[in-house]
Amino acid sequence: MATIDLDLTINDEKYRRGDIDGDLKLVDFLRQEVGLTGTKFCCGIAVCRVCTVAVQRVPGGHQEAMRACTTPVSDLNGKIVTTVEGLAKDGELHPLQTAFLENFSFQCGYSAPGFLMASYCLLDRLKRSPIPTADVDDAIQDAVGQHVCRCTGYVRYHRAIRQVILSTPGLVTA
Amino acid sequence: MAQSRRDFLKTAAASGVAIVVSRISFLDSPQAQAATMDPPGGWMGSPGHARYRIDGLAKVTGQKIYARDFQARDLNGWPVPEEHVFVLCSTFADRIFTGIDLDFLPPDLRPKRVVTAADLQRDGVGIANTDFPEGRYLLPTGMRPDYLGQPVALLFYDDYYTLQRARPRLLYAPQAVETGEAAPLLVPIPFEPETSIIHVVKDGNAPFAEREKFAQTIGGPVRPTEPGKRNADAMKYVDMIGDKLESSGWEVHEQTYETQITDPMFMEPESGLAWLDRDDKTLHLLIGSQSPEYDARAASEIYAPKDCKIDVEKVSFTACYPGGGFGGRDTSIFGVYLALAAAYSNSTIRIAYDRYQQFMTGIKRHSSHIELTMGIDKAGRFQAVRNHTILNGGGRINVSAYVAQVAGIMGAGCYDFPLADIWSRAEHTRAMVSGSVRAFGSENSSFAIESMIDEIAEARKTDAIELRRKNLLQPGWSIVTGAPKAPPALHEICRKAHAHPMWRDRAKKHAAHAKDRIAYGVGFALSMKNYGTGADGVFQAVEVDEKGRLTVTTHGVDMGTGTATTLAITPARSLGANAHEVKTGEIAIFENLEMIESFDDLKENPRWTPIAFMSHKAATTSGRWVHGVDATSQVLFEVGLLPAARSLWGSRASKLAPKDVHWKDGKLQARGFKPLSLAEIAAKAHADGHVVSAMTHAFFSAEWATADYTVDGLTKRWPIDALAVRRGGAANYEIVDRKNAKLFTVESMWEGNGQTFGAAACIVGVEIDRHSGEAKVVEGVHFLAPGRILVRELVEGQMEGCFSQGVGYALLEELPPYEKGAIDGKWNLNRYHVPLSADCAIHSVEKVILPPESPDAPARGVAEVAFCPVAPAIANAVAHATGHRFRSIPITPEKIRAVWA
Ligand code: FES
Ligand code: FES
Repeated sequence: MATIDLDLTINDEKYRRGDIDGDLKLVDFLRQEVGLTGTKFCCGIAVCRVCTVAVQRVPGGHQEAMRACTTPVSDLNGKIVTTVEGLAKDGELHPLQTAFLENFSFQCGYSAPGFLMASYCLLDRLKRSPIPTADVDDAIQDAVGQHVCRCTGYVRYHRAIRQVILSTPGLVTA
Repeated sequence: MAQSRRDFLKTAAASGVAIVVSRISFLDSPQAQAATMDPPGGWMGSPGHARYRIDGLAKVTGQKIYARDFQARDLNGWPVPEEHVFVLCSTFADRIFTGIDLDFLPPDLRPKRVVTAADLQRDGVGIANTDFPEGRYLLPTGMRPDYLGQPVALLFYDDYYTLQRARPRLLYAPQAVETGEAAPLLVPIPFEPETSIIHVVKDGNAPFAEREKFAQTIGGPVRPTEPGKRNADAMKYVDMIGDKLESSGWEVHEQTYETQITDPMFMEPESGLAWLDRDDKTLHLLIGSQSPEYDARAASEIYAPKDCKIDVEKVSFTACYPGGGFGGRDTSIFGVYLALAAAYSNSTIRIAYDRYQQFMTGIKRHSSHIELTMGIDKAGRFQAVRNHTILNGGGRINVSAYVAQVAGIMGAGCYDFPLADIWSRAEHTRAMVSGSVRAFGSENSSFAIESMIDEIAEARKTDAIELRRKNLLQPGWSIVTGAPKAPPALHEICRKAHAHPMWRDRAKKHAAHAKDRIAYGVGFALSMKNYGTGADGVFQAVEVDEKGRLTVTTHGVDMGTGTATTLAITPARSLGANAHEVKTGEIAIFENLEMIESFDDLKENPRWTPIAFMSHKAATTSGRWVHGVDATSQVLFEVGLLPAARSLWGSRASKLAPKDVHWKDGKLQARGFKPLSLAEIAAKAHADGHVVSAMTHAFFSAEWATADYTVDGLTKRWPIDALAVRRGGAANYEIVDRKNAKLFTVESMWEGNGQTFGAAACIVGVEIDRHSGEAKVVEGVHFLAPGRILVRELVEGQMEGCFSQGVGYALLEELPPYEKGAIDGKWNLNRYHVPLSADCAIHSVEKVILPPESPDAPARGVAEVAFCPVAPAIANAVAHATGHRFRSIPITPEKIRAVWA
């Protein structure tokens, strides 16, 4: 077991741990070590995407959706991780959270954090390179089409994400 | 259904162990309380409406609400660090088990302690009453496993990561489980009771109500193979139906249909914590369950024997939000293993299955083998049905016999057959354990019946919807298998479906694709489904605090279907406001009603009820739990708040009756009086000692039990069978004895047959790739007649979820039975395909929700009803597209390629 000194940022907080197993999966680090259990575990083999978090290499960098169940913490040294717990800012829900609520997007809710984080990364991408309105459904499908939700049939997740994209200035070109 | 439950349900008191259930109070967490986090207005809409789910904020902000989220350090007083337990399972069922040997593990991955059947035996650990095979929670050496995956040992690790590293080696570890001689495979044997339904109508034109000659509604169930006159008569009719099918000159269709084992695949694998506090003799359990009362009771029963060396006087159960359920967390045996492990540790025990283990050991949907025969006369009228259904129940009885019963009850579909011979049973086999999964057996019958009707229509070259319409049960008729009332809207749904462009244009569209690589077909299926079990009991309390805030307490749980939200808006009808809080999964508080549960007729005892607690299942939120909260809110209003309002209004108001007042704009209004807010009335009720909380039990079997109750001189008849009230300033509840009760006996339950039904249908369009054989759902129309709608978004969400699960059932999901199934420890979502959004035609399924049939229409169950027609509609669409009838699901690309090759 190769140990490393870990230094990463999660939801704007620095986490430094010496002598930690570099193969430790991010989902275990978050849930077991840090106590952030908003990131969920289901398949453990990078298929269902319920464990998705957003990762930036550097401040202001692209938000990349990553599956915490298979990503070792050694891959994240020096990086910036956002989990579902970090979405609301200054006491205000993120528009995606509000849209998920108002659309009754989820049922048991277990899949919600993964959908939130993947669509959060999608918004980041669209902010940098807006797309035509006609392509929005495809972009959503690209971003969350591989996510498993057993309860809902997906309709309301897609609807909510679309609403946020269309109502956030600068994400679509026409 | 009622009688067969006689042995199934036992009172918790039998074990002599007290049970306390509480819940994770996520709303108390500082995060949830930060008002600024909540969008303006919070979840609550105007009275009777929800802007979003009451549990929504906790879920969307990632708070700890699921059992898997908790560690001992999160819970007051629980010992840290935890011990982590792995449940080691047998991987065979054809040899004798001789012991375990963990030497194959590297030394650093070996458990520090192992518990086997010998330990349980030595300590006198008992059996939960509801179980079969008798206990054997850990298989003793010298026996052949009862089933594949039967646990053999509990392995204790003191470190999470060590177990994580050992886990993949332990999952499928034939080398760990030693075997001896070969033993003959278990020959499937039926789980008792089997279901037999014989229905024969009188010849001639007897008026409908009198036309039944032989039915289970007259004299109860039959068992044609057993002695007794009634059974002998039934056997005669079985023969008569057989003869008629052979010799009446009807067109007779006879086919076999098969459905597969599937996994409910709720997303949170089962997890939980347990701790046996030896000082207090209290066993603490924390689980996300659909049946908290069952889990707590089972845990208490295993330590109940007098000579048991493990001293447990109390079970304290913490119910978490389940991360999905669909039936798979109803009477799961998971909690028993937590309870067992806790007895062999001084610390907190954590068991957290991974997905492989969940596939290996979790409750499955039964596979079925259905032999179906239908006789049709020249005019196209259905004359007789014979449906013999066998379900693979696997290694533990769980609720298999009742699943078979429901398959039987749905064995003639929504149609009128003058003659019916229906026989269904679940068998004990060496397969994984099957149990309660969404639709509870109906899905099997629905697939067979709706497929065969399409086959008949094809053979007769008639329109498949027209054929159905000709044979539908009429509104108000009793159904062939014995329940009193067919649901309304069957005809209306068929009429709408028949007129729908997707149906009208199907031949044209099919023909247009005739030469393409992609073939196209449309299918229709109609289903009705019972909601509730025919004998349902619900507990609830509605209480108002001094500030006018309402709290609803229920033993129901919310597995995502929206129960908590629905119950939160229910008080608005009588109390003019939504509840601020809904406490789900509560049990202990209802001891205030001192109910005695028994199927024996104890009419003289005012505390008697046939079923006290039921688990949360059978799409009962809208039909049962809502009634309970609605009735209780009315009681609270009439015996507590209206009297307080009258006192505020003064002597002029002394004669004001409920009909003279109404809620408007959050205030109680009466002509000529100043409108009063709920807060004002509540403050008065608390100050003057009026009733501020009503707690009730309600029991349903075709109708609600009713009785008279007198509070403060006012006597009124309520649809409840127990009432207790608490007054302002008082700490305790006072029981109000019922009078002139209209109750139920086992016989009256059979005769009234308390099943209630809802109706749903689907039109589905599929495209099939002639090269790959892949079938894809591309469009659809989903019809539902839910009656009164409580929260439209939740109803629609259930329809969408049902549609997606129907796609999986028809086309994608399958676990092979026996040795090739999930027992090999290699099943996960890379092999078991649940539908993704691209499989579900998410932008092109229209929902048609029929309006309530009358102003007082009941709110019907949704979450199972809407599932039943989806898979058969897809199968019918595939048949239309391919010209080939697939009588077994899932219809995989391999199967399609095979017929097209
Ligand atoms: S848990 Fe399924 S992808 Fe990570
Ligand atoms: S809401 Fe339950 S899994 Fe998606």
